[in-house]
Amino acid sequence: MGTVIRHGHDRATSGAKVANTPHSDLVLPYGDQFNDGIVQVSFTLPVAAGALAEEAARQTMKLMGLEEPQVAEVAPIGENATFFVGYGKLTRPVELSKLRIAKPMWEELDQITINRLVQETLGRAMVVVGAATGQDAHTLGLDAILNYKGFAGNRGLEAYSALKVVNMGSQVPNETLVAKAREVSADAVLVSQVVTERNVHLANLTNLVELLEAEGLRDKVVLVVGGPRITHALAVELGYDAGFGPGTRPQDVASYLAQEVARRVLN
Amino acid sequence: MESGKQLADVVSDSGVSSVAIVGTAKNVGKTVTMNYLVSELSAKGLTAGLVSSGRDGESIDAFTGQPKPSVVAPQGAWVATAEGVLRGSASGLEIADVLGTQGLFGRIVLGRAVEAVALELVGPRSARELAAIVNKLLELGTDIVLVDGALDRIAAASPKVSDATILATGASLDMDLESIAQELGFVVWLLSRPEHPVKAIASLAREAVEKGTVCFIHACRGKEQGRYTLRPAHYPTVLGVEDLVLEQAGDAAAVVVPGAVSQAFLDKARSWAKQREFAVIASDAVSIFASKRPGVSLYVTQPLNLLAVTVNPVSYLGVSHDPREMVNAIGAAFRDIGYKLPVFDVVSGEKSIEGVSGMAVG
Ligand code: B12
Repeated sequence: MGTVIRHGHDRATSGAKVANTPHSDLVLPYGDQFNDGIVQVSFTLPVAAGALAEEAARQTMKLMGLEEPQVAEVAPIGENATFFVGYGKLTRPVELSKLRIAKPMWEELDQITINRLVQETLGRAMVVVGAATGQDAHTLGLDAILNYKGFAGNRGLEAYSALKVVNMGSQVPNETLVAKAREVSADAVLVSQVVTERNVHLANLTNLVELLEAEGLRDKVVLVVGGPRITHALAVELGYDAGFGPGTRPQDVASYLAQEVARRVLN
Repeated sequence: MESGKQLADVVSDSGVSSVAIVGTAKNVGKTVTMNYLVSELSAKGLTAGLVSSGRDGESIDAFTGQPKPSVVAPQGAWVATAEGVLRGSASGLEIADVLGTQGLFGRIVLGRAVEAVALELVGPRSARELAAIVNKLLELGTDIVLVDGALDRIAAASPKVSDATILATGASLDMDLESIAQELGFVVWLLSRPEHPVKAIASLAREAVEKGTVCFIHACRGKEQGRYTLRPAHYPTVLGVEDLVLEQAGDAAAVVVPGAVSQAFLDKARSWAKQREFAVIASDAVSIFASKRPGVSLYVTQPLNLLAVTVNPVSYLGVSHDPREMVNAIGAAFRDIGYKLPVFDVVSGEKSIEGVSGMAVG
């Protein structure tokens, strides 16, 4: 039944188009041998279990670009749906040397260094305004970054003497956030977006950028967005200075903010 | 419009030195329009410059995972992009300048294509930096700079950045033709906001925008009738202080907002204006955040020069419309609201014959 997924780092053989060795530039997922292209997938179809459902499952895998699709597990879910686990083969490799990873440019600094850098650069505390914007009611992510207590044993931005934090909470309209940023002369605006279903966050995030542009504030603030589905590349494409994804620690954000204001003052 | 006129003719005849191509949504064919324009304008002997306000020409869309067209710079064209994406395609570019501005993949470089080159465009993060790059490209000897807008952002169309605008739209904006045409009618209405028809008011409004303060414009009485005065409201913005601002309006004929004009402000201004002649004047259409016709007179101090609309009848969701039907439906929607604006599908060559130029007649 199917292919057993094994990790055989010593199983290098040669001859194929894609090298069967680790550290090749062209890579494919692997099951038995390096770059054999074997993947496991699972999905549910709204079809009663049976021959028709299985053929539909194989077609579904073909549409995913999998060759030699095999159905490995079939489990009925109620009367009119079936859950499948399948195996198939991918033949188009990813070219590692063609990939570009966009990361915000900063190095990790400790709390004392961050405070000193901010004070030296600005001669005062840096004002940071944070909010979960639009419809988003998730505050834990933002609080993890901003609140004194922090996240995963790492103190939040409120714990930094050189950062003055204004946490506006959740479901903050972009207009209200921009008005607050102006009122407190924010140096940085931090936005949290957790709900990303149907890409609702995208229009909301670009809207904030356009508002800041119209208000003449875009160049005056470091603009950051974070959330479980945020990447730096996405953030920058949306018009932000940086994006932070899952697992972000407050210190990462503080390090970035301190170095970004310093860079701006130097330029 | 003479029926032989194509989008490239509309652009070159307009004599502008920079054009923003902005979209009503993602995947509406901005890159296709830009590639078409740069190749046609180059064929006319013009030196084109290319810059993006986001990211363009990457092979796979970061959101939809769909393949995207690359940007093709013909020989002699200038481009601005980030140094980090030039690996691989750099061979065809002669670098003339490296700017301090940081893009997604490092500093922005300006270069000239020594041969036709397909590349990715990565732009700066703010409209101010974008404007600086457009000027730099013009200084380097570009005849016309094409500014590709990012996603659904229209900041590239700001008069501070570019002289004229092309609005790209398509099937991914909405599902059926009627809603696309309706939605577009509104967007075009918004982007075509003119100056206040009273010259004296229009000129005071420009002064208010210069000041950077929300101001009221009042008509003088008695002997001074026919003249107007400016009265600052001492607020830099209306955001969050919509009511406070309007409470000060008194018998003003207009309020001038130098920053963002929000839907909330327009709603309040509308009830305010019920009993009197009252206009809201924004600095430009890009600063107006209306989601519907506001029901109050709305003007700008710097109108956009909207040249044309392009349509992409195919969406990545698999919806596709007949190009001719789509172009005609959109042309008709504009005519219904009193605008004469040419509509093109640069892929099929379909166009609406209604338009004359981008000038609003209503
Ligand atoms: C707790 C929770 C809630 C709570 C929120 C309580 C609160 N005060 O926050 C409540 C019950 C209110 C809730 C409601 C809803 N939720 Co909910 N919720 C969750 C849950 C279980 C945990 C989220 C969380 O707090 N994670 C912990 C934090 C620390 O992690 P984080 O947010 O990723 O943050 C980290 C990084 O992303 C980053 N980060 C985040 N923000 C920022 C900001 C900045 C500036 C920076 C630098 C970094 C940064 O740093 C953080 C620390 O590393 C998740 C499922 C899950 N296990 O993830 C669903 C989840 C997020 N919710 C979801 C949904 C759909 C909803 C609802 C729409 C449900 C509904 N149908 O009503 C509503 C939304 C209401 C609304 N309008 O927003 C979905 C979102 C799916 C999607 N991708 O869109 C999830 C993923 C569950 C699911 N699988 O369906 N939810």
